[in-house]
Amino acid sequence: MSPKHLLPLLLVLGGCTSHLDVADIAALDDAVVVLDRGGLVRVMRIDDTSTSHTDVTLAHGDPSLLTRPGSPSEALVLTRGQLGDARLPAVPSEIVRLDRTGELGRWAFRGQYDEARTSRDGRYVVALSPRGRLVVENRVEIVDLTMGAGDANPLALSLRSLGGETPAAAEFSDALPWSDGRTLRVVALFAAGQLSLFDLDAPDAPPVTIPTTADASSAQVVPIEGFFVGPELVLRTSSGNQLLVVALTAGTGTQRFDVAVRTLAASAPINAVAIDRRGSTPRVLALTGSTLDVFDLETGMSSVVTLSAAYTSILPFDGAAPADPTSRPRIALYGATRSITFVDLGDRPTDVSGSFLLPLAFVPDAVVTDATAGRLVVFQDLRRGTLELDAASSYGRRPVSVVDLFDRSALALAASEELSRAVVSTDLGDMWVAGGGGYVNRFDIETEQQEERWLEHSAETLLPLRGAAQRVLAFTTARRGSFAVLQAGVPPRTVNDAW
Amino acid sequence: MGIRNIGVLAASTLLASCSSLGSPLQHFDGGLSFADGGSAARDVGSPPEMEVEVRFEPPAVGASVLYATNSGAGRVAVIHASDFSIETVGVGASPLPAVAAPGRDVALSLDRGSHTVSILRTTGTNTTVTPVPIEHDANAVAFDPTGTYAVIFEAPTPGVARRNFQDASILVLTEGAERLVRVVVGYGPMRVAFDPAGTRALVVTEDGVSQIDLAGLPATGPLRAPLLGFETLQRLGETLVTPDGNFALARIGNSEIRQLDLRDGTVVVADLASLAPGELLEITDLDVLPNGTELVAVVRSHGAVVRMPIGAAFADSTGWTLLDLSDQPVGSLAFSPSANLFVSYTTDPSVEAIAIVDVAASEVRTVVLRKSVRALAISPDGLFALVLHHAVPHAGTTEDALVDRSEGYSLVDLSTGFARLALVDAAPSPDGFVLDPTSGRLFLALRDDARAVHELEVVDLASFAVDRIPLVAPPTTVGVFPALDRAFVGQEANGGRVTFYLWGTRETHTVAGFELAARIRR
Repeated sequence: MSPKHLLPLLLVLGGCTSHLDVADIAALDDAVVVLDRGGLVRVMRIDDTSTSHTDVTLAHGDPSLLTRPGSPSEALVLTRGQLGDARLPAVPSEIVRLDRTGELGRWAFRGQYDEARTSRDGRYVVALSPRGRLVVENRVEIVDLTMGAGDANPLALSLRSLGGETPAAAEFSDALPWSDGRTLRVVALFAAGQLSLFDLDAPDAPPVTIPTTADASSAQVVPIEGFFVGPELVLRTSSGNQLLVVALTAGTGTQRFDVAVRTLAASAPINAVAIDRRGSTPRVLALTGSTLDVFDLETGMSSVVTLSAAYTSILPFDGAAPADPTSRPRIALYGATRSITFVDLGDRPTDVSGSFLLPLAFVPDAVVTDATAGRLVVFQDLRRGTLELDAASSYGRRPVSVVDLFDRSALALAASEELSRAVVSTDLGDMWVAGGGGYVNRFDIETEQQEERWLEHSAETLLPLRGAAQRVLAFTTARRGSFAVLQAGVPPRTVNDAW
Repeated sequence: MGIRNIGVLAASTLLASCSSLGSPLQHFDGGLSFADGGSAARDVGSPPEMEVEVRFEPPAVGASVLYATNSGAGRVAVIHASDFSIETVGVGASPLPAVAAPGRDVALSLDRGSHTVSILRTTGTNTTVTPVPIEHDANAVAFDPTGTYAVIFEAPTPGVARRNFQDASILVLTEGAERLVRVVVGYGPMRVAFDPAGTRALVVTEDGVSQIDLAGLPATGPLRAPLLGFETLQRLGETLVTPDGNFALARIGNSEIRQLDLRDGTVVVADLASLAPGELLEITDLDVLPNGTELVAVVRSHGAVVRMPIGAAFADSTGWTLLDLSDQPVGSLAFSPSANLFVSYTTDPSVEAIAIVDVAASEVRTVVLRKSVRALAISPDGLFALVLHHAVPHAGTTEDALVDRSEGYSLVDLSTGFARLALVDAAPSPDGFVLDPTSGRLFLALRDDARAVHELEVVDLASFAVDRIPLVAPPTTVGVFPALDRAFVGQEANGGRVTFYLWGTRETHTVAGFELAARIRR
């Protein structure tokens, strides 16, 4: 053990520290939320010249942080609760909603849960994997974050378990204008071999349960991911080259809704799916090992783009192309191979006007589109494993190339320092990189102007904050709360031992 | 070829065609037999994947439901056209495509492996299955007009040698009293006709016509059905049965036609050669008028149509009526259901016209088309004709060249002669359309797998405007549910696929994944 690691240990053993036992960190608007395993969450505000904080006490049980899609200025904390025994009362799991001011709301579940997931729109949190000495495993509880806690919030749902299936994930529809004049909100619970649809406004009504395989003797076809597009749920399963589309229709019996199912058949087994809502009707993009199948969700018609490589990721973006300076819907495909393929889309969902292969000398791990839609930044991942408290996955990431969309050329990025930490600011305008010797650099993606600085210590990780100032924290010791506040055109400001 | 009922189109379309073109649209020929032969036909060339390939045969149409057979799994999906709900029921392990009783929510599923026929009866949202054993090979079903009886037999299948040449069964479909009576008929049954009341089944065989008294069926069989022959050792040509079931007419050789009175077995012989002694006659079409009163022969070599009264005066050439069409397209005829007019046409690629003949007034109107005729059908109300065209090679960039080499069809208003030509990307199949007076529309499926053309054309019979509805998968069957204001097009897709067209709103609604849909729990 090095002296660097020995010092905190000695301080703890000596009882002379009040440092937090940090479990996780997340960025907020000009603030960072720090999760303490001891039952505390600290909101640390980072302002122009000062820092301040608010501590929020959590209920018992291991806490974990959740992001809230659609509300990036907020964070959520799940506490797992504790089982009661002869001496201690049981403590249920809780969800706590936070922003830079502190606690915004708190919801207690009926039981203890090991896992929670936030809906794509950030409105709901579903608690999965109930824990206990004897629990019904097919139960979930759902919190509506837009409503205060009450008898029906959280609400409990039980999967119709036909063969011992347990819920593994959930997807929520928007509030849909419905045939009875009210809105309809539906949640789909996924389990091996089936999905069950519940009316969130009538949770006591039995669900509509849909098998995910035509083979009645098998429950091995597992839903991988699902997307609600209006009243339709597009579901990718482990079964191969078909997507299942479940359309919500007007109910004819006790349910307010019924379903009709159909399938979209891709050219080959599907590796990734994305929904593209930029056309006149929604497109479903299905990436296979050799094609990109572009489906018109409304008609089921498709176009097939033959690919020369097997990609793993789909990046829809609006941007220019050679001989077409107009910003239009386009797609970049990347991952697992030394190239990027661009696919240019037309106005109609299945219109594909062309594709273009950009060979690279490396395998890109991440591609980010910049704020002006003129460039893509391509990253390579040098990591061997993950680094604790690296909330932005900055460690081991190296920017390798900037792709000019107007001529689809890849500008190689070279640096004298071995840059192995990188993030993009939340407005996608700047790239921040860090290397050894305390080196940090802000790279303006559009102008290519750079701003170099040297910190006292090398940055372990980088964390971009939201907020008008577009600050980035360069953590020198994330566990202790030692970091430099980086901001364009402003000298770095050092904060030590903030937690 | 005479008037021919085409599978699911039978209720709505009368089709006449001289060409027997290979159709990419699979169908139940005549609604009476299984054209496919029932092979399970798994797609072994599909890429490996976990999901089981679920192949459904083109659906059979009932009154309000479709019956789509999953040959590989031994199940039939019942698709309710009213609410698009789907149920599946188990039938035999190796079922042939189910056959529906016209206008009824009843279908039969023959299983060649177990020698059973399953009766599928749909009431509301529920379909019951009643299996009944049969004691012989069978691949075809014919329903009587009342839906009370079905004749089950082995029909000839191109390329397949039959093993059962004379065994047939009558299935009594009375609900709760279903029973099967085995019947031995003449050699080589080809098709079955009925009298309008459904009291007699007339099995057309290679030897003549076997008559089965349905009203007087014994409680148990087997029985031997009386066979009436044409008193000739020569091979029978095309054999027609009058709609009233009283006469059968068979062509022998080039010009001889024999009339068999099915009531008493008497045979009379007429020879069209008497019209032109010493000359070679080219008879290209024989039809019984829809009202059953006359046999009409097309003598293309002489540009004439001969009308022969069926009955006692059949062989009396002085009673025949000769219509001179020597300056008109002649080769085949298509009749309106009321027999008040017919259309004369030829499939000669050099002729681009048809003739509309008013029978009562003996008036002929020539309608010039832009392309030659491949097949022609008249709507059930007798107001419109659908003409399917040839595509002929014609190099060049002129409009004529483009029109000639394109696939296409024309819709003709028979009262005014107005014709609208539509050029399309695939050859319309003689089996793949419905001319439906109820909706006032023509529904026509287009399929060319090599060029990925999958489309449903919807033509408004008032304006002749064409709407094109792209389809995801190759169309197999087109039909209508008049009472529900909707048409459907079945498609060849893994898991099954049917697209409904709601003509009131012009919306489409697609159901697919029949097995999945049937297992939804509500």
